[in-house]
Amino acid sequence: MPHQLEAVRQVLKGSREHLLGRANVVATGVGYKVTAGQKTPTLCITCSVTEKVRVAALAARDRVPALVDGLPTDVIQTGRIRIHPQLTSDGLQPAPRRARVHIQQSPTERFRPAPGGVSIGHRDITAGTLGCLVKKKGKVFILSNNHVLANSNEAKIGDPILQPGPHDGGRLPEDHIANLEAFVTISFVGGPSGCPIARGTARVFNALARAAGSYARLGAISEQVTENLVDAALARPLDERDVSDQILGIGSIEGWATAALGIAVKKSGRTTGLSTGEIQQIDVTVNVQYGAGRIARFTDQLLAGPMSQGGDSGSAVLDRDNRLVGLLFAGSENSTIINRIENVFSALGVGL
Amino acid sequence: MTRRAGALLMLSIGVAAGCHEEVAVQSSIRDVKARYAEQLLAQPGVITVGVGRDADGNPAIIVGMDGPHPETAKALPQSLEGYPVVTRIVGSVKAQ
Repeated sequence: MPHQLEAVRQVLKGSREHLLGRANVVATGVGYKVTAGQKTPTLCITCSVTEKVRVAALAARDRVPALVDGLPTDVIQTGRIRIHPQLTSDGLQPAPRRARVHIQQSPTERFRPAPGGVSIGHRDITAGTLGCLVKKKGKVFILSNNHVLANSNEAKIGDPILQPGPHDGGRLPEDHIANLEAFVTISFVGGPSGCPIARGTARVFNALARAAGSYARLGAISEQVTENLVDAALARPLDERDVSDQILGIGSIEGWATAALGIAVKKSGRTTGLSTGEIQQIDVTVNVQYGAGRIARFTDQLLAGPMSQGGDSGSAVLDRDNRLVGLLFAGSENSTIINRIENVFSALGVGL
Repeated sequence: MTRRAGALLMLSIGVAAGCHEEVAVQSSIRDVKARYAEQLLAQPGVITVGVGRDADGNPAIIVGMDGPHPETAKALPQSLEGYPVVTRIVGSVKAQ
């Protein structure tokens, strides 16, 4: 609807100076109205503020009107706006007057305080996602995956964690946000060529099963595969003021819940941002590739449709009511694999 | 007597319908999935086994494969202890 967009831009052109004159408003633009954390198809005028303030606390002249020339407005808290000289204006945002800035901070950037949904990683990995904050004995910790915070068992307790992750430009010492506190060791099975005896055994048993004409009569197979429940780790922030209990694009977590088949879920991640899906399978046992031919088997997992890509690992998965239900850690072209949050909590001894 | 006759009738219907003999005391689908997961995962190409729904919305055991494996698909049972077995292509599942 280009004509509609043009109309909104015209309205913005006429009202921009007026809006930018209000306290806290640092940028204006055209965007889609976000209601209850969900993007709607309604175009609106966005006013970015350093900090959201209760309307009652603002003088009348500083309040952003709900409508400008009949168009809705949306107030977005963007915090500090960083100068990013390489970024070109994408046409939807008005060209700023002095420096080239962008108002919606990307999850791959540096955030202080850092909320859930942004880039994070152990110094030896590329980048993953900061899931959310959890508590243990009154202390606050960052929750993400073992393969994000502990480099798939390779890290040492106390290793530095960077926000953003190294792939996104995170460097020591300036982006050092936390230290690795604990991780649940992942048990790997051999690569594709590994476990020849177990595979041979399975083949023999299955041949017998076919000969017997039924799976149902088959006894247990003695393939020794250790099953994992979670890919999870904790990091202790150097300063609790450097982390936020919010999740980017979602807001606050409203407790936790046990995920059931068919429920709608969402996540906010480093690569694909806010995305939604549905729990299509529960009680999933799955073989997951960890690169370099390493495979780990997980059980009691949740499987959702495609809602993630590389770098989204560690994202907190929430239900419709913003209750935490899982920790995202793997996926394929058409599915996403999620640890149950109750398994994560019990393995790490943490809670919300 | 009547109760026993009823039970026998139910059993014979189950057998006639080609169901498993445990139809009278059906295990939960999660138990059935747990019992067979390892055997199913030992089949070439099978990488996931979970509990979901078939095309008609009935509870089903979903077997995910990393690509097309016609021989494996053919070798898999149509049902396990009365629950339908459905195959889907999942692709390779990788840590992200």
